[in-house]
Amino acid sequence: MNEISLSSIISIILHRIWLVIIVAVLCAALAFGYCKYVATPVYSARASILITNGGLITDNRDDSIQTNDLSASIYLVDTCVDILKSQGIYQNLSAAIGEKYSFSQLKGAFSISKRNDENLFIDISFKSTNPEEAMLIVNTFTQLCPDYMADKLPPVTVEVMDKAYGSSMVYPSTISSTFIIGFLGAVATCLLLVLFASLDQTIKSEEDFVETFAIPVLGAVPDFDNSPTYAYRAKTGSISTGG
Amino acid sequence: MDNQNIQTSENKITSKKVPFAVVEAYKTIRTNLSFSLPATGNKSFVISSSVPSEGKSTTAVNVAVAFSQLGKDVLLIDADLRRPSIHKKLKLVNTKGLYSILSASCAFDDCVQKVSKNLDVLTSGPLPSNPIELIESPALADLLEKLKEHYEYIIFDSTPINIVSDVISLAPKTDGLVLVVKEGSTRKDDVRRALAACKFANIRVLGTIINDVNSKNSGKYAYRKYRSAYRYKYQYKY
Repeated sequence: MNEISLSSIISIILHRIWLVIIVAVLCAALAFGYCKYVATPVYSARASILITNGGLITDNRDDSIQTNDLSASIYLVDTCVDILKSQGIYQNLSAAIGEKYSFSQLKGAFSISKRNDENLFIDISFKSTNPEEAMLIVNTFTQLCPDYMADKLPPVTVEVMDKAYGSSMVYPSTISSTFIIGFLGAVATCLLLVLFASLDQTIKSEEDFVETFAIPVLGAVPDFDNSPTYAYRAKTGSISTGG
Repeated sequence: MDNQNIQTSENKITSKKVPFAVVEAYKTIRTNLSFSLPATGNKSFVISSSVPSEGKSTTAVNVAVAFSQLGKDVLLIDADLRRPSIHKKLKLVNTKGLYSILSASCAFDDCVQKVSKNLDVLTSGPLPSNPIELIESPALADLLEKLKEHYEYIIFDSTPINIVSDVISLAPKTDGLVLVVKEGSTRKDDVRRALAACKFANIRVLGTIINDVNSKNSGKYAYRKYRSAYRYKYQYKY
């Protein structure tokens, strides 16, 4: 394999820049076509619930928020997230939606996470190929949460803060996929060009020969077939330039 | 360029279909070779390549024509006794030639063919069964010495270096070897092998001629196509 300098790499790519562009455009077009006409869209519906220690809401006799209760609520959020990922609530959900999906299918399509470390909110999202179904299922789930959590962890109070009023398409991302695939196509083409050039053992140019062998080049004869063909008549036997 | 009465194929520099850039390239080769060869005395050199189909025979013909256009007496010898092609390129008869002379069946004057005022050609003649022995024979060395008395330039078209060893035997008898390579086709490893063989045989490599160079790169001036003209603008890259 030949060593190739950076300037040679750039030269190789620029020499075949048309190929890089064509491949990039083709890849982008394929990605666009796939996203637009082949890929099955996936929608996500989101909702959120508020987790509190029971004392935080019901036991404050002077309507003040006790620090201890707030801290306790924050600690409880992680536990609540784990409870909401357990099998039981999905079995209830499956029954509530008429067993259209099994609990394992539902569990795999849900995403449950706390919003951040200093927050009492839990975000819940559900993905489906049907946007209305995604919305329905995630709202049904959030409706089941208060009773389920009260049963599993009595001190905890769950309140639905945000219901899902619609779904957003999360897959495919047509525009970003088009650009990313087109870019990757261009990069792959460049890498292949450099690879082939490094494996190419033929003499590429007069400069290439001189650099390799340090033998004087007496002359370089242009390609007969690709040179422009001109007919000329030297009436005087002399040749003049310009004019 | 002088109009010469040479029966040639379209690739020869006397053909009107050969581009101007090609003609000038051979003139440059002629000039550079003149500097590479010994300054005094009559000169001889071999044109060869590392592997077949690099354009060495076409190059040999065109270089011979280029030198003859200087008014020098030039003899082009087809020393490729295995696959001769000079007679085809110049549309000559090949019933008698170098083999006939080396085998003492014919005299030089009966074999040589004059193609222009200053250019004679000695074709290969019938194909021998023992080409390498003929090349190595004292008869070729004697012939070369006699020919030098009459010709200022003797150019041999020989076999590819990496294929058979004919040129390794022939080139030391001359002033040097010109290696023909083809851009985009000749492999560097083949050239390395050929140069190593030359070095081992103590052959002086006068230089290289690169064929089929991509002429699409722009130069200083612009080519214009003219049907008839005294003057023309031209673009070329050296």
